[in-house]
Amino acid sequence: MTDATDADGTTAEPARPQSPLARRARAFGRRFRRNRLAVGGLLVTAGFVLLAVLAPVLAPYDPAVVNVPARLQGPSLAHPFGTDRYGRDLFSRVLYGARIALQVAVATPLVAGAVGVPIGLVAGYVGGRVDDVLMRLMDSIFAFPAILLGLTLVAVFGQSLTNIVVALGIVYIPQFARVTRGSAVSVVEEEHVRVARSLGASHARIVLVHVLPFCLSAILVQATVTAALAIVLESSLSFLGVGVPSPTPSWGSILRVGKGYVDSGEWWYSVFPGMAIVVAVLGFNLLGDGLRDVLDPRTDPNR
Amino acid sequence: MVSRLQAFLIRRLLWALPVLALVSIAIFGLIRLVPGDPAIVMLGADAPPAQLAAVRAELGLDDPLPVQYVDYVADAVRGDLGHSYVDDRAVSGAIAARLPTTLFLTAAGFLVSLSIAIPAGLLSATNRGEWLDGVGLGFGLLGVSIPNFWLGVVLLLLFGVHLDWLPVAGYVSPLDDPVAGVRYLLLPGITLGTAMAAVVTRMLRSELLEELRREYLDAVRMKGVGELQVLTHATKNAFIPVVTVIGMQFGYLLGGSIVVETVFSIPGMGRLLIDAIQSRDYIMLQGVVLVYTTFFVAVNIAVDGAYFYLNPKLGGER
Repeated sequence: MTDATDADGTTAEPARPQSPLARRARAFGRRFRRNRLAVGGLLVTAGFVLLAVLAPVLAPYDPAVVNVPARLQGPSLAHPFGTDRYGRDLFSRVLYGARIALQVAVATPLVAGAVGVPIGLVAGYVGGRVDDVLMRLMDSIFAFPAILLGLTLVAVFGQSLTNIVVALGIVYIPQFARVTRGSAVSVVEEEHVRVARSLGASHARIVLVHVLPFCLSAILVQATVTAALAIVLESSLSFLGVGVPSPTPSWGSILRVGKGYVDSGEWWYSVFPGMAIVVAVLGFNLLGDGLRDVLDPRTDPNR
Repeated sequence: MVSRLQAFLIRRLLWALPVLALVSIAIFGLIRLVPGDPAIVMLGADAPPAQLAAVRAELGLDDPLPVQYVDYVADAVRGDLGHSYVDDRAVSGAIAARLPTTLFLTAAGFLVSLSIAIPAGLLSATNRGEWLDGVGLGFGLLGVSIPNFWLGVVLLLLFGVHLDWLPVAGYVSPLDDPVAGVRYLLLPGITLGTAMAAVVTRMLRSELLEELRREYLDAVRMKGVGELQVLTHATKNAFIPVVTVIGMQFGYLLGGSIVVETVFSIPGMGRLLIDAIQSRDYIMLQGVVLVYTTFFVAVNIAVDGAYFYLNPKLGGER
């Protein structure tokens, strides 16, 4: 195919035949900017990523430095989030905790997608029995609550950040498979796929070049939602004492210790790390909701 | 003659068997992968080798894995899930003692969530675009973004410590003392139910909006019935997909109870699970996970049954 070369700079012609993908990408940008949820979510998420990346620069203290005389101090100018039981600065620890959350938020969808997307593509493309068996299997995993599956897997694999990300990745495979299959099934019916097939393209080429790109929008929404779920699940596991090992300041592990100081009134110990979780998760959820509205032309902007 | 619903439930039950078998094999296999020798967990690392070998033989750990699995299942169906590696109590007895607590907690979460979600979803959909709808939408978004353990800790700080209205930790069975039981379950129930309330609110709102747009409602209106009856009609139909979500969420409530039990120091199955993980008591872990799984599978079947029952369009086949 030699047409549809976009780079020829003919701006005067408004309705040049574009590739269907480029057309969708352009419409996406336009709709995204008009969607308040999506823009708000993107801003919060970008702020979270920035804080996590710049934590070593922004943190006023070393998150691991113990200063026992300053232990359990309430919020002050010197320690905006107060100090913990060893006198460590909670603001710095929460900032560093964002780095763990960011790693989890990025790596979990990658792991889950790396397995779930191919399963979904195969199920959606091949159909029939293969589809039935694969989706039944996915449903069986999905029937498990994430927390129980995560706990069991971490108990078996052992506690480390890598193992936790792998365990969380496994937990969310079925959702990626389901979402990918959903879009693949409808894309397979489309004109351009039938044309490619009649021109004799191989199955692999059809799936990778003609089906996968059109599933990306749904996969992107799923990745955003999974990032939010993964942050919550990782902090839940750490809160239960089965998460990231203790010297690393994960938000959930700070809260786990902070919870022990609720009765004695040291509220800052558990309130600030929890607020960090809520803001990060809310950012991804807003972005996910916004993306869903933007990418699905059927949804009504007021919904 | 069996009715179509019965036939459907029987088919689903038959499906549940391979799922349970698969899950039990997976748990069994995974746990055998764990580094760590149960005999050492029981006797300590410096026990004499002969004694360790004797314990291994007694536990059947020298048998091939398939034999061990078959033995385990044969005992399990008779209600014997083995004995704890740590303190030798019967696993099934320990679970039976904790199960009612977890079920009461889950039921509390369920009640809280529906008593928030149904009015919130209805109000949100019928006042679309107004401030009430904004509150409903905001709740739907915030509710899924607040981790339950943090909500629990904040509620504890506020109502348990600061205002001192409700107990901060522990559990009293509502069967022993209804008033104290409810006081102990109130905060845990709210903690557990909020996330599900948010999910169901969102779902109910969007389903109801969709339903209210349908043409058949105009036909209903033309018959001269009031708006309230029209709404009732739409709600009934909107509920069909919502039931599936509610059912799925019930499983998640059971999962969430693991966390909530830790927040409020409630002696339920979740605590048993966490303690088993931390003390590497894998036979206990295996039993608890298996019981949880059985419940999830049972709930899923019940949900499918309810969906089938509610949806008149479904013939015998799906």
